[in-house]
Amino acid sequence: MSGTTEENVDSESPRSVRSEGNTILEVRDATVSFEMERGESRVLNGVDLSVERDEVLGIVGESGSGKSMLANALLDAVVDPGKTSGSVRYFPPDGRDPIDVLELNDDELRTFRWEEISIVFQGAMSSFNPTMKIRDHFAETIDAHDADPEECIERAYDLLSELYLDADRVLDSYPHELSGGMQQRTLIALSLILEPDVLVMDEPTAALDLLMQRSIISLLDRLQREYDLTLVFITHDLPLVAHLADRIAVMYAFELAEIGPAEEIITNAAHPYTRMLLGSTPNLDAPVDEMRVIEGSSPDPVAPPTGCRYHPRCPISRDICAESSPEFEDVSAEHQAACFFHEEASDAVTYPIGEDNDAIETEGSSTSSRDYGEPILSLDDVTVEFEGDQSILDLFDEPEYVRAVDDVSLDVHEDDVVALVGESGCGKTTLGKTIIGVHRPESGNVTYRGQDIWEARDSHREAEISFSEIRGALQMIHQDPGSSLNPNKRVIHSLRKPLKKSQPDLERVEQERRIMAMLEYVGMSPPEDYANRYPHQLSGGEKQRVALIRALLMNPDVILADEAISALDVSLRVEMMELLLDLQGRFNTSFVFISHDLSNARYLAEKADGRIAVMYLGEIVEIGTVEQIIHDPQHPYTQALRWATPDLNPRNESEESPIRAIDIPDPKDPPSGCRFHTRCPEAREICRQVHPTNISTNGSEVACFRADPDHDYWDSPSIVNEESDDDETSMSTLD
Amino acid sequence: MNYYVKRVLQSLFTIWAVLTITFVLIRWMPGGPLDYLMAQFVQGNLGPSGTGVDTQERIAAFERMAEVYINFDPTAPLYVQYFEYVGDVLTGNLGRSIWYQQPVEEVLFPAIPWTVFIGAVAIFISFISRVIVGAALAYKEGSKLDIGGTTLLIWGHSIPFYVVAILLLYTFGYQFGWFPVSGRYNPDPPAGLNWPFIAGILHHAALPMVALAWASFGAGAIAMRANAIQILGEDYLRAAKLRGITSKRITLLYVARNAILPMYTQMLIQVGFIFSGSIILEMVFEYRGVGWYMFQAIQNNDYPLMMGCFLLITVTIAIAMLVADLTYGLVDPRVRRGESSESF
Ligand code: SF4
Ligand code: SF4
Repeated sequence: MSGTTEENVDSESPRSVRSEGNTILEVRDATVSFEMERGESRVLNGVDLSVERDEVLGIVGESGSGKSMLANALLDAVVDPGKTSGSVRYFPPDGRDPIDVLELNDDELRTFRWEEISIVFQGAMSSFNPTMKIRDHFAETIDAHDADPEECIERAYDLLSELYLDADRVLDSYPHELSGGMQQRTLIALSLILEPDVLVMDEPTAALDLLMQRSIISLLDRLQREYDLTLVFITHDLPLVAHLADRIAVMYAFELAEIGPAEEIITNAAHPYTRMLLGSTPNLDAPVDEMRVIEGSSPDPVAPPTGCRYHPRCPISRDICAESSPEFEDVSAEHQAACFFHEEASDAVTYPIGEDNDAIETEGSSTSSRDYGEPILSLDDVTVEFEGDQSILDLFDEPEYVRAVDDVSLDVHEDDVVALVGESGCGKTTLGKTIIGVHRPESGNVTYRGQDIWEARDSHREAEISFSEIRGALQMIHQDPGSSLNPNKRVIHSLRKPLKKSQPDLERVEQERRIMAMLEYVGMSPPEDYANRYPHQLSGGEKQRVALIRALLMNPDVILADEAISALDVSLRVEMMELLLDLQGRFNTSFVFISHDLSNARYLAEKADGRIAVMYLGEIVEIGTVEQIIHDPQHPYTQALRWATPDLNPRNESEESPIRAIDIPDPKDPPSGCRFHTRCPEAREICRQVHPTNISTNGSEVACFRADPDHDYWDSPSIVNEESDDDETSMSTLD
Repeated sequence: MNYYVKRVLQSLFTIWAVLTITFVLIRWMPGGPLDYLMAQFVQGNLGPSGTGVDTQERIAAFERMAEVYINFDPTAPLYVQYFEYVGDVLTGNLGRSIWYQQPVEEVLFPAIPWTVFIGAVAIFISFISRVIVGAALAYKEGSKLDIGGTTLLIWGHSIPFYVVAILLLYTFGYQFGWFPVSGRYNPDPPAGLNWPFIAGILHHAALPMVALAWASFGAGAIAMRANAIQILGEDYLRAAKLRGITSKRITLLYVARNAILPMYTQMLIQVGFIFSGSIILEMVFEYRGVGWYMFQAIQNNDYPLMMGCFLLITVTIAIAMLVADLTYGLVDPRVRRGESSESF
């Protein structure tokens, strides 16, 4: 559509040349407060900030740092009963008088928003009315602003195709009929429909897969230049904006900690907090040993620390830090940091990206392929199917089946870590659940220590190892630990249950002693206090620990961790993974770790000397050691995931997107031949016809013809450039 | 198999099961229809009586009677009895009422419109009022009105509707004399499409309708309030406001519609229970609808009539449930049936 061939998501060289001194938004002393019973909660405290015309400003902070409040304050859109004070001035590009946003009345605000500044929220799904078609969302917005319907709809079509969507199809869909990535792009189109000058994006990609996030970032980069947009991009994920943003502002405890040009912030951050944040971010390039954990937790908005708000956690704080709060000091002309001792920070807090950390070698720690004994768990040609959706309109059709897992074989060994990575919908969760005996495969065998799990279930007593024993040995922790803990039961109660099951004759006192010891061990002390709490009195990370203890008390051989750390804040992730590794060594447990994030997978797998398996549309397309997958990926899909994983090295200027299509094909009707051929940059005619089987190359297994230097593939003609006439592979008709 | 085909077959199976159960009940229940018929017969209440009739003739007569009243001849081979029975019921022949000495369908079918009339209007009134009340309370969430209203609703909901029916009858029927205390219409005006007659019908139906509407009002209004509150807190509402959508449009197309749609199934189920719910109601108001006849049949041991009512009730429920299931996906785009909730 609109002449978009395969050259799709590209991004051009640095964007240093920008019009200077051309402020479009000026924020002064912006404060947002909520009245609460225990006092005033200031969730944004006196922020001063200028946004330049046509720049991309990244605002980075952990959850609860006030970054969303800042985004909302820009449009005076803080939810009731929050109060916004200070001033936000908007300077229209056509030389009209500046607008005091916080002074506008309701009617003026109604026109101001969306026509001058619009906003994209985090959850795209929850931003659409579920019972209204997408077209009506566009139409009502145009109508509400008395804009010219024809012109606007035309723009909608342009925007949607620009975002690689089939405009007609999208407009006639209900929101839930679109995938998460499509919804998010549709939402971006909807926010630009009235040609605003500023687009505020509040964690617009947080809920999406990395590959989709990265693709959207590339698209935004292009849209921003094409439509002369000013972008304010809010995120918890510093590496994600590193390449997109011109400037980055870092927030800590409801205040700005540091602001400056993106490259300077990344290579030479001045504020100790920023440096800690950079150091704790899992990163594919940095050696794992140099990542570290941020100590302590973010402060309470009702009673923030006195003086510098970071002082309780700051490694270089001195007495003065607790007494008076630091003002912004110039680090360089455009780089300010709110720290008294910012000159010392770079020596005190190091992180692996920066000028003096130029060459990062990849240590050959995991090249040695370890000697695995008999597997604990073994999957043999396993296939799992689901019935697809239906409506009464397909009354006479047979239901369609989705092969969530297709013919997969995999072994899990003693003390092993297998990380399953892939986009959502690739079947990694289903495979994980099949591994631990929750899903029954349609065909193929799952064996536990030589005993077929499902045979054990069917034959009850005759099996050598009983089904309940097997299920006890295979445990799981979920992405959302809250949902797996009974909200009405104290922690101790939830923990006693598995213990009763695994060791029924344990005395009550002994039970409690063990639980306390475990709580203590995972760092929840005093354990007596935590044991008597209810789940809602625990933080996300603490709930996850309780879920982990609960799984461990069953004395399992294998624990499935399904996106177990994705919901946690960046600074907590490394900590949680450290804990997993520690427990793995101590209790001799194997982990199957599911993640869409290659850097998390790499962190765990590398430290535990395990493997990474890359899944695509129900198949494992590549499996191998960290060394092989991260540093020498063979499969084009693994290479794409590698590309999509944000890295902080500013010299790794984002190259062109390696995939030809953004959206994953419909799993109900997977492409013929190699399933990746619709997106693969190396696809050739033969890939469309022949299904590649796993090819072993020095230890790793790859399902791609390219791994075999003598394959017919090399004589087959390329199909990369023929999108326009082949519907199935065309960018514009993907779904 | 296709989910919808499966669902239709399931309903057919239910109806078949009900038919079979009624057959078994009629045939073998001790003190059931067959025994009862026999007793009536022996006492000479039914069939030829007097001393001049010999045994052979009496047996033959009994077989004929049985055929008439309960649709099968108890002396024929079992499978013949069964097919005879099922065949008759499916062609609308429900046997003969002992009490009324009329075919069951002739007693029952004319009563159906009356019950449906009361039920449908009551469901309608109840639906509209609970949407309005529920939404109003939701918009005022946390206010005195909301707290008081919700308390009243919960309190009101705990009163069984037949108590309400009796109270209404006592107060407005007997004490004030504003409404008739029994019957379906005024006998005076000639039946037909004339105002006095129709006014009479409405006059008679008013109290039963209110009482029946009450039955589903409290819980329904509370559910509507909860739905609306949930939607008022949704992000898409906030997003719509930021896009500048007028509050009128938001109220109608966002809040009202999305809060009402989940109530659709519930309403269809209510429709399904239209006949079973009418038994107590029509007994209290002496309103000659399906429920009233059912009640009479129980009192008079009129088994054929009872079985007819029983069939009518179950078939209506099965059909309503089926329709609810089949159409919900069309009414509410958020729902697609046969969906696996697994994430994979
Ligand atoms: S002002 Fe003090 S406490 Fe705050 S960041 Fe700087 S050194 Fe640390
Ligand atoms: S087999 Fe062909 S289409 Fe598949 S990944 Fe390899 S090159 Fe790409």
